[in-house]
Amino acid sequence: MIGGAPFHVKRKLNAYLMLLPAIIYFILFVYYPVFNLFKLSFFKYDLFREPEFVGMVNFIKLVRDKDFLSALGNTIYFSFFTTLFSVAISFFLAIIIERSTRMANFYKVVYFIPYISPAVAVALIWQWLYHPGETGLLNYFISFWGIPPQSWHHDPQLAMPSLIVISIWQGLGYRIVIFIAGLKAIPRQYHEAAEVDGANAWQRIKYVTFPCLKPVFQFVLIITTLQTFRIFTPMYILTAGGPVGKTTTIVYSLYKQAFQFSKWGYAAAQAIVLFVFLLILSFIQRRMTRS
Amino acid sequence: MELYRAKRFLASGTRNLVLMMGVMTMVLPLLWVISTAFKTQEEAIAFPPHFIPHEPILTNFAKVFEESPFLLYMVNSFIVSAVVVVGALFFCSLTGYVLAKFSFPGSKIFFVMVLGKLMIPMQVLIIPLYLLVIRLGWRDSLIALIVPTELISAFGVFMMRQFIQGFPDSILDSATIDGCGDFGIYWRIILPNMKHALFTLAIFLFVWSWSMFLWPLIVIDSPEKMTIQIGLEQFSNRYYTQYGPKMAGILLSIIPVLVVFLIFQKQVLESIALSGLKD
Repeated sequence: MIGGAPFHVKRKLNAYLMLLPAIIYFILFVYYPVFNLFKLSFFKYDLFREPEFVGMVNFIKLVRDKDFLSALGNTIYFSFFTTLFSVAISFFLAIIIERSTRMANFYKVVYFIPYISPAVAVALIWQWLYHPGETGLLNYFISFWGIPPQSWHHDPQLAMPSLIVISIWQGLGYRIVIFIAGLKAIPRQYHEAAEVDGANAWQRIKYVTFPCLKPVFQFVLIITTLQTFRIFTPMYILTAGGPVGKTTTIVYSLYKQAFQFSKWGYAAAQAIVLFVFLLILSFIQRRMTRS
Repeated sequence: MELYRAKRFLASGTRNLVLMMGVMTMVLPLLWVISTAFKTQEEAIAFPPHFIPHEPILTNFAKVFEESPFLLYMVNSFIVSAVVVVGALFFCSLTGYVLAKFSFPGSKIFFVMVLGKLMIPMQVLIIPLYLLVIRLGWRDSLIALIVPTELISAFGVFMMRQFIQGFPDSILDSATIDGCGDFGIYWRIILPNMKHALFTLAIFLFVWSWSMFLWPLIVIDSPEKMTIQIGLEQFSNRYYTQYGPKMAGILLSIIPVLVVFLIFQKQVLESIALSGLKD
């Protein structure tokens, strides 16, 4: 025994020593900023003048701010429809990919390519597909059905749906991979037993696959909602939150308040609203995965 | 029997048809970008569109590198990704080792702190982190992109801890008896035996750092410090109506992550299936 200290004391000391970088890191770059975020939300601050304590004013302003409420609504709208379609389509595709055993890996890899592509590139790719006028590829395709050229993300009615399509397109592969893993975990015998009992394909999905896959569904639903609540990049690149604020989401809104209007306290209050939403969703997820 | 086989054949045919339509939807946008990247401006906006360029050119790629510091953007992104990956592999595995194999007062609290970080995304933290980075004097520097992001990734710590927990205590104990110190055990026994897990984490962190956008957008101002994502965004704004060079730039920004994914697809898809983590 070197140094004479008892073995277990030395071991604990070593543990603290090895943990030290991480402790400093998490306090300095996570929890101290979280504390500052809450503090800042009670102040008026523009980076230059001294912060001015304003109490709950930022939060009272939030509730009355039509732009913020519409950003909140836009985020929920974006999140709801992306999640709905994304989960439904990826579940459907996962089921048929899992059955085509020979090509399964090829399909998984191809569907996954948009997911690993950087969000900026994906937004720019779709900007090109949504190119206005008849030379845009999508406008060219719809012209086969006699539909006139659309202006997609520049059209107040179509802007959010256009961005939702991008998000569904990009996320399918990720959800497919998770669903396939879930499907693989269902014991073969369950399906065979149902088949023996005379269940057809749809009945087998309804009475075997769905109930067995419930936890996977919950996981995918929550994780997709969490991801979509934090959406920023496509809005920044394609629409700048427009037209007429139709695609301004919470993150885009707080980015604008802080980095364009220099209203740091107000932006902090918006970030807290986002944080609370995400926390509630995370807790729902933990509750579900536990049971 | 014949009927049964015919039915089977039909069902698998329909399945593959649906899946191939899906494959087209996934791949067509990318192919369209590739096709445009090799076209002249006239051909890029030709109507009806040519799917295969009639006279393919390479000058769009040359333009990207000559008329913007695109190479520098890529080098910056590689530096950031490399440092994040190497640093995170060390710190995450070390921290994960302590959390998995030591018991001491406060270990539970610290573990909860790590798990808590998983629920606090960057988007929530950008405001106070930006103010912190200014105070530290890191604004407009690559350090700001490396340290406060994923240098000690909570996801990584969690993943490493899960892995190291499965390590047999008997081996570690006998190493201790043979006189190996606690850090020595980490360095000589744990690390060499978790290459696969480290490698998977490295892939995730590389793809993540290469793709990050919001944080560099806020922190970086000068063109010579820009990473590929904000560089590409700037470039595409400047070349808004020059579709060939723009598409060439997009392709160049995807290629590194695409290559990494295609080579290591098995690990990536396996670990996504296993954990579904790191969104």
